[in-house]
Amino acid sequence: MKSKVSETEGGGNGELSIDTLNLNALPQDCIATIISFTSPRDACRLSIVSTIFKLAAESDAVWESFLPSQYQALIPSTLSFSSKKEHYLSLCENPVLIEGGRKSFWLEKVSGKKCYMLSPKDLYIEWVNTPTYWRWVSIPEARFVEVPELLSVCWFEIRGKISISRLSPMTLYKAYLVFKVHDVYGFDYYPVNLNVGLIGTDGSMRTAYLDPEHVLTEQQSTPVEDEMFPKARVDGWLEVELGEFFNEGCLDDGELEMTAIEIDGGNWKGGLIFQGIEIRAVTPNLCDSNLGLDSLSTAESDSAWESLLPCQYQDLVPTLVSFSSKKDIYLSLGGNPVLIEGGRKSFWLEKASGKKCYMLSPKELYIEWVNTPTYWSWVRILEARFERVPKLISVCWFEIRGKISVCMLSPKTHYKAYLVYKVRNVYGFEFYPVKLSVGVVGTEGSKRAAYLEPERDRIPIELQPTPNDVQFPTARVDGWLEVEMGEFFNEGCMNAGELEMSALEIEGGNWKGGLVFQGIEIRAIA
Amino acid sequence: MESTSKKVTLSSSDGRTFEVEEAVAFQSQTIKHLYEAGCTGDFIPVPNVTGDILSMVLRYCEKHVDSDTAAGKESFYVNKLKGWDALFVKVDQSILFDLILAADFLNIKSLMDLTCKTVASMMKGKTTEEIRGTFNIKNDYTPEAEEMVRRENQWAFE
Repeated sequence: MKSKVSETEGGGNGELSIDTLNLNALPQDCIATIISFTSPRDACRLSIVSTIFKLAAESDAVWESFLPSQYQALIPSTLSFSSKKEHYLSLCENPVLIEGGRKSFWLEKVSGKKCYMLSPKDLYIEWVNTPTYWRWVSIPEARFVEVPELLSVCWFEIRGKISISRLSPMTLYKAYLVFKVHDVYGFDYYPVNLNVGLIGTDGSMRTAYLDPEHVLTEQQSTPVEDEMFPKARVDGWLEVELGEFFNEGCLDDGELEMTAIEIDGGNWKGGLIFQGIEIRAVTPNLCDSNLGLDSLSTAESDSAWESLLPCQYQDLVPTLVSFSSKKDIYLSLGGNPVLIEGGRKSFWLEKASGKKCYMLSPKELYIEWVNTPTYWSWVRILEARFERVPKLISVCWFEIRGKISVCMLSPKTHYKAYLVYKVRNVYGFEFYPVKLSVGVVGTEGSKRAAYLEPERDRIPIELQPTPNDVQFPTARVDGWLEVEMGEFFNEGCMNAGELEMSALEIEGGNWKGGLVFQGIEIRAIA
Repeated sequence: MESTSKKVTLSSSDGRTFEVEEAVAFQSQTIKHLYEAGCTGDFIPVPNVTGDILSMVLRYCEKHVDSDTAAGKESFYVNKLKGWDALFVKVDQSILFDLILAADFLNIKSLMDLTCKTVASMMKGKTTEEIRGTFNIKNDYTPEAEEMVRRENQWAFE
């Protein structure tokens, strides 16, 4: 019975206490319907709101909605689960072989998006059945029964395809070549050309070296990015990113093709074992934050919305993402920061004014000691916008600096910069405030001071009360903390000039740590 | 003998009556079934829904009456309707929850989805405390029980 209001039946003057009707008082199946419109991660988080929420958040109705429609067919019939939630988690943690072992399938845990690994049998590999060039081996650490070991080839070419109808809609995917090295040779001279794209389109071209030990030779004077080398996976394999693809989900047919080719060198190369091509859903930090943005305006004309977009917006939006109208671009940039410059910055528009905002990733910052593993370590965390962020283990000398060219900022706009971070067993920041400043290089700029320690109570009693002009961090809606570093008004009449932001604490000389840095955010103030 | 404008009359919990076209009222599966089951007296009672809420629900149904037709599926019309929907759910929380209860009772799937999505979007990316605050929900866990649930779902908090 869900009849909270039925007592007034027939009464012409029934006064209802509707003002106090509270979400918790809705029938459990209504709460479950609401939760099924969030995400798997949100559903788990919501279960600690109240006991009613827990019942709803763990119901089969909710988890059924997070499972892909044909999931029953994907599960070996020998497995049975006590609940749909358990079933879901199993599909996230234990990839299952499908199509007679030609593909491996699982769900990305946070979002429930579909992910695949194409086995070598599902790929086109040049020369793979010629035993002098390649040989098929069975190794326990591989997901598939047999994987090919590259003995020696000149012509190196691997191609994989998947129908985009099998991917989750409105999802950014990245594809990876997954392999191991075993006396690798010949891959250190020429990078492999990598590409991901719909057949018939250009795709996202990139290059990478497959030899993890690749050392720079003299003729390669251009600096080589980190992204150009394989990375270790937790399962012991290596991977290089082939490229990315945003699946809008409005095309029903169409095939995504992934390629890795090295035929320029003409030299012999070998010593690799291939597991396959992995196609992973990438979860943006605050996914689907554009739900309900439709209400902003009913004006639909492209020209109206184009006028609100920054002039070089085309360069800022990943080219693979296409939108049906300028309004869609504006609303998307207003709700979903996009990674630009190869993930070194995050960019979005302040929704009300359309002013440009940025977050500089840690890779874009100068952080003293950041590459010394006893002081800082690079970590991957789900809630970060950037692929890897640095965790401060322990330093005495704490210094972070970032710069941005003022011509990237909107003119006639007041900006504030913020240090965005999280605490994890923070210590040592309760004694000395960090000195913060923002200003055009060569000028005084504005100065601030802040304790990075969020708990006021942990400031030693002899230092209390703390001076009024020393800030404490404030919580952001995305779960991070921020302190204001200073402000800057961009007149817009300077084309040259760089804005510098810094955070410095070197006076104390004490050891401090326990922070994870996401970056420096530069926000337009309304 | 009959034109397209056959009417039915609905009566709310507080005794107000509303005369609407069949096609409007029949977006509610509950009313459609009641009608088909022979409940065709002077009016069809809607005992769980107040007049204020029922009039909002009927306004929604009127707006959506064409959405299943070919013309209604054209993108221009769909986008316009989306804009209207977005404004329709810009109401106080308590009204939104009443609309959910009404959509649930009357079995109007598109209205249920719209209202539930709206509440879901208010939850996304919020911490537990923020959700309790936003929706004025009392935490009825003991600290130990809350900690246990948190630990069971540890991955979602990392």
